[in-house]
Amino acid sequence: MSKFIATIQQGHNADDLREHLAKGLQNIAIESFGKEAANSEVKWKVIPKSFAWTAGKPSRTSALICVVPEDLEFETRAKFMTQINDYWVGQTGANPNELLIFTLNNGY
Amino acid sequence: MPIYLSTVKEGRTTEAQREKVAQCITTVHVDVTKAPVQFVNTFFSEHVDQEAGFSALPPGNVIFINGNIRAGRSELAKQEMTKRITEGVIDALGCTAEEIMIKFNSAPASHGMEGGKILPEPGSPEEKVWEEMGIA
Repeated sequence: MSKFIATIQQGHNADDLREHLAKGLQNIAIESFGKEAANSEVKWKVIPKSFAWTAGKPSRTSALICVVPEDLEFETRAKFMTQINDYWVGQTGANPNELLIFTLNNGY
Repeated sequence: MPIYLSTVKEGRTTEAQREKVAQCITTVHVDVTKAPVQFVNTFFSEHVDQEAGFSALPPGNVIFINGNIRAGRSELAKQEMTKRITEGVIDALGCTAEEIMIKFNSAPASHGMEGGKILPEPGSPEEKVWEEMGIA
């Protein structure tokens, strides 16, 4: 099973696309880790305006924590993050610098 | 990365105070680590959310800062950041040092991606290129 914890900014494109993004993230998890990832869930944490800064200025950054199977090889982990990045940026129109992806091993 | 996730006491901070704390954290982190400024994130929440990284405030505290950084930073660097951020938070929030909690969590660089690229290991040749992204 995989899990995503998506911290996004209120009013940002991602906030309006939550259901759509959740489905896409689940599909990438299934493609990467097999059918066991079919029940992947996405938990959303929406940061209100005036509660987030990047480089000391109001932030548009989303932070995506992905809980992944333990002992993933570097190549598999890198490919997974690249797919997530390309999908998210493509769907939300965000600048790649506005997305932080981090993978946590299951059972962290 | 880094991403500083701060839990603050509900109703205790104004937008101007949070901005001042964020600017302090950004300045200190860039000074000490040379990380590109555009990747220094400071998010605040008035609600505990352990899964998302916002820790519960210990009794009597007004802010709990979780600094999520790449593994490989020296203890000296973390101590300097803790000292300078504490001073900045005292100035911004008008609180005492005892009301501030700062914790650093280190994670492998290869587990993260930003700007569409895997984060470089501290001290690696790739890091030089990454650092220069902050100059442009």
